[in-house]
Amino acid sequence: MRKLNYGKAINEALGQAMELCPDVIVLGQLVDYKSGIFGTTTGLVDRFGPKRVQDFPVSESVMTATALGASLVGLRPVLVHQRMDFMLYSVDAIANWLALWRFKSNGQSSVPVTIRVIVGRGWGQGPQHSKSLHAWFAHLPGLKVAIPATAYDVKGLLLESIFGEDPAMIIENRSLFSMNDHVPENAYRVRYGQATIRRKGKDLTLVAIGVMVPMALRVAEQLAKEGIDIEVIDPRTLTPFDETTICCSVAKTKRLAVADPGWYTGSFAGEIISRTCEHLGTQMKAAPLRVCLPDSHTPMSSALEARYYPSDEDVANRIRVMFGRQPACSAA
Amino acid sequence: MPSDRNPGHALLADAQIRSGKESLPADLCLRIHRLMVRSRAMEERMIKMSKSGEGYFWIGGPGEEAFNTCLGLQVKKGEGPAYDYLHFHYRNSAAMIAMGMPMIEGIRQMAMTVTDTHSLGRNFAGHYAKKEWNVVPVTSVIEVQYVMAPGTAHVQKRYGGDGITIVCGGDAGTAEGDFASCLIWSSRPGHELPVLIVIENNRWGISTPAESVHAEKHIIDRGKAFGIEGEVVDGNDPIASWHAIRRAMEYCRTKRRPFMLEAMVSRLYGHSSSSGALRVKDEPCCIELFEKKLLGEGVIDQETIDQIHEQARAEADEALEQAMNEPRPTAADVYRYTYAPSRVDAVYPDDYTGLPEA
Repeated sequence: MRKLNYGKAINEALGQAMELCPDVIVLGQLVDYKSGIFGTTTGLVDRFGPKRVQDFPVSESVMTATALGASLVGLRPVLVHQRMDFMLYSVDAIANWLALWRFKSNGQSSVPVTIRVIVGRGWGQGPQHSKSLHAWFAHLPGLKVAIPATAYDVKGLLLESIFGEDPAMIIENRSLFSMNDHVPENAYRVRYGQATIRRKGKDLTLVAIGVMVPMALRVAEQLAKEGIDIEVIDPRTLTPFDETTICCSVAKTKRLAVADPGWYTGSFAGEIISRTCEHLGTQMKAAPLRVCLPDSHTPMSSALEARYYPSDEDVANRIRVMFGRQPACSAA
Repeated sequence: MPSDRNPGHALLADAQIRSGKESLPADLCLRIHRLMVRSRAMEERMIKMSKSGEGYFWIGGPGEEAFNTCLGLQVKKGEGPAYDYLHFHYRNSAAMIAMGMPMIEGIRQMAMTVTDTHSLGRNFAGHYAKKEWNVVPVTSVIEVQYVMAPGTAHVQKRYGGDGITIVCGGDAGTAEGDFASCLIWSSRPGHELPVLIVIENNRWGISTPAESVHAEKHIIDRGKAFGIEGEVVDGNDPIASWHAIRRAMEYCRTKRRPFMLEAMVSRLYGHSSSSGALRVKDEPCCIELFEKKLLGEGVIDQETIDQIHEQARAEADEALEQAMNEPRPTAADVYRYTYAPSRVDAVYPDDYTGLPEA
């Protein structure tokens, strides 16, 4: 079984997409730079040339809207925004145009633009290199939003986005880039709207979004030793969203927790809880729990950052309380 | 549908109507005139619909018919990069009429019928979308079309041929950064793009007068910094407009470079129905001015002019009557065209992916 890390899986997906279809182009600041974007575009310009792998100066709005224009004439652009915070310059093109295009053109045309956007975490990323606004973008009809947690998923979802007909956003957390997973060599699909069960369990359904997945699995292993058997579900995509898999799990466990790498208020975790309660609210044995980021901006200070992001122990303790147990004392 | 021509009027084959040093054949002038009148009739019918409850919000381009008719008639119309791409704004109805859009298409959009081929009755009037003519969906958010234009022009330049991208907007929107971005991206040394950058300058930004915003004499003056050539034209004069558009298009088609064309136009019914859509009396009307010229040249008489107006109003009334009898969107249409069906699904239902025809 071949292992590849998340960053290299992205690189492989881009290369395969460009081989499969001459209409696929990659745009973004420094995509043709030797080191690529954290290694994800390395070597592409050598293989496919500067017409298909194009550097773009700092003008996010123009980059996104230009990709839209190019897609109208048959290209399948893949944009790389190195930070979601910077991508906000192009929100008009995303919200008023890409997401709306199919609707506004009365079904006459579609805009297969794939937006890769990276979210920073750790190493003093501070408030303007770390926003994970997946809930914002999941709010938009017409835009598909994926938040892959593994190398396998990011490759399959990237290919699925590039060869789909809708605008799609792949939200990549920088801290996942070095994580290895089984990644087949062929060009395969991971479909939107299909969650996956990362760990089976019977006592609690823990839905983990994106970068929270590895943490959820660690917490599940820890709490299994204490007799709490957790089922971990990774939704993989937020729009379309696989409600069925989660509801089936909660119907069995009667308990729901959601770990979300976004802010608490207006979080996608709230959406998941709300949807589940609409179906199963009367069957729950405990009030649902959501673990999110505090409603404040990311501090650059590493000491404050450690408090800002929920730790494994924070999540485990909140689950212990959910089961009427005492939280474990922090080592700090 | 009435013809755009005046077959009943005897003309000398070589008769020319002059405006300054330029002229157009009389039969073309009469064709332009009829299209202008039809466009105005459609807009005025839609304004009435906004007031009567047969429609809702109205926004459009009465006062811009001279320029827009000449623009629409000279477009290389078709689908794909070999043809012109049109990034219109919401005051370009006359260009659509000149391109051959039946009046009822505008009326249906205003009436919000499910038969509206531009938006399924789900968008504002004047917000056209017509793929077979490369008319990309019109934006309500102003000026963003100026940064999409380099995208279509980029591919057209790669594709070859003489198709160009035409982007239109008002003077007020040029204050947005996207306008400056368009100038930059269409004029990069060695990567110049065939974009005809049109500014239809009505000297208003909703209710903000242009003189309180623009320090530059002409908006095209900004192009000088980027080496973009430009021209200012009296957009109320169809003969001057025709030739200015012809020159600008020829420049973009042959040199594959950008060109700026600023048309000075009127705004005869204010910004939109939100500001009352009342007839403004202190701005020149391009139709009245043109009719005065045509009468003075003896190529038409007042009786024929009256008939043309009457026919245009009747066409608008008939279109309204038909549209009002057509179905409206239902609850089931709320989700239509939100996502596109996957072409991959049909061919590769399993795990392989890629475009079927690649």
